[in-house]
Amino acid sequence: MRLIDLTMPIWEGAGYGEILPFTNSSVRFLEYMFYDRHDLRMTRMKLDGETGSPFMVPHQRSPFDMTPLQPNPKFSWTLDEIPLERLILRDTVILDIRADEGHEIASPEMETAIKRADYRKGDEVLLRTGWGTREKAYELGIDYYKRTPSIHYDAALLLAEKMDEMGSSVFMTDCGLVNPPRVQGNNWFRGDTPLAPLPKPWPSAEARERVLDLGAHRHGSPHPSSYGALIKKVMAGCKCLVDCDQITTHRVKMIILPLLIKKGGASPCRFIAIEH
Amino acid sequence: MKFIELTMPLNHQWMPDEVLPTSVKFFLGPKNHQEKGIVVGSETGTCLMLPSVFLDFRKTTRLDEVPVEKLFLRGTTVAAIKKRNQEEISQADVEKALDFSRWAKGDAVLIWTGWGDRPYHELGGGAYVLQSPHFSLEAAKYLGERMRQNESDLLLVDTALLGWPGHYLIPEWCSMIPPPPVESGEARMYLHLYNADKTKKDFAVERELARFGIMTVRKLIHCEQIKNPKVRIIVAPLQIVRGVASTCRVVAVEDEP
Repeated sequence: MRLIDLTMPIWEGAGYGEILPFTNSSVRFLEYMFYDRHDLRMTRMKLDGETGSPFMVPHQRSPFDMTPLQPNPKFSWTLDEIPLERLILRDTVILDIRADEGHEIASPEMETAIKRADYRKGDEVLLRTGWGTREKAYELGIDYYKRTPSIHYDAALLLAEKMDEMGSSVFMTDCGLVNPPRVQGNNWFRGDTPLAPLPKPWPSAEARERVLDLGAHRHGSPHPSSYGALIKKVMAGCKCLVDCDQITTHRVKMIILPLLIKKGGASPCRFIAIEH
Repeated sequence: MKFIELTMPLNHQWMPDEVLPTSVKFFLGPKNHQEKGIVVGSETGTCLMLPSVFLDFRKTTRLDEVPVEKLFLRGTTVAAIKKRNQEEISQADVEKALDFSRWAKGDAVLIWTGWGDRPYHELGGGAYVLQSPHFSLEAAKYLGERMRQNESDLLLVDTALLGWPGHYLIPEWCSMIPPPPVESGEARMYLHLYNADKTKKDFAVERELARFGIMTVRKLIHCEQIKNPKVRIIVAPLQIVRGVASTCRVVAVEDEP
């Protein structure tokens, strides 16, 4: 048995907390007990539901807002309601679609990957592009997300339908963003009027102004959300996994453990693949 | 195969461990709140503490360096040392429990006192922390030595505290009436004056276990659900770069007989 850690680490100023206006806010650490003064170290950590490699359910804004991201989702569990059997030692198929920087995975590629994979009923899905590595995330900062491969809406729709048909409930990927950056970062870091220099995310003045402009916390693109297509059909969407190329088999068992947040909708999560 | 949740849920309405000034208030901010997101401390809820928490051991492993095999599906021996409010776990208690258990080399140890089975949400006035059973220094020394002999470096307990910070922290903090909230101005000032001489005495048990290279997990709940003295344990902390302690998710895996 071989255990492989696929979890994006958490560090102050990590790119995933700096790139988007709302959905993921900055990681901030405050040391309040110190080696030099107290002989020990304690840290206050400000994270976000999408910090690191996140685990996000359809009711992502729970417990404060029970409106799901998409209407009528197939699953409605919050983090503390998910049975452990749905998180631990889950049979998982690897969908391989090698994707270069900035590539949007199209539906023919998705179709081919599904056909080639050893995809069995009840499997969870790990879409592996080869993009996500710790080293790259450390080196590229926010460019890791600006330049990430992603999933075109049509391809996401196709995968969502297949996952529904196969009884799959967890979608995982090593893409930095599921939505194409042009969609997710429209008129923030991409689009006709990107902001330069890039502002800090929420609660910056610019993020607040964006809410005023858009009328809500939306990505502000006219294009549909690939993530939206997926989250409608799955129990959880998970992105920013790393080092998936360490997996040498086409199928693994996964341990997927988000924080146990009462009525929570999203959390940093640990992802461990097990090869037998 | 049976999975058993041993994690204290992170509840934005109330956490039982926010008592001492060394803790951080768990906060969940809604999307349009200034602090949208999650605030946790090193010791929030069920938590993993590495030896590198302490100055003397700061050159040892950090959270992002712990080999996954040490935390995921690790063989674990469950040893019962039943204790009630504020009772101390003695060297004799540890000796008896370990001698009674069939502790395989390299296995982690889970010490079940029953404290985490109590309805902690019904305990008012900080009792979950302030009445927690805890190890004596002699017990910690003995346990550390036994764990070293058995090539074990992971200890899990269902108590709120490992040692009793009774030299300074508890008497000084609890003498303030009404007790100030954690992260208050009083808490900050207290920590400013709470120096290394004091922490060395208050955290002597934790330091002793760290000296043996032992990673500790505390504030487990519902260990009474474990029926098998031998389980596999999953400890899933946040993967914090250069971190030394973290809230974590803990699950026991019982294989079918």
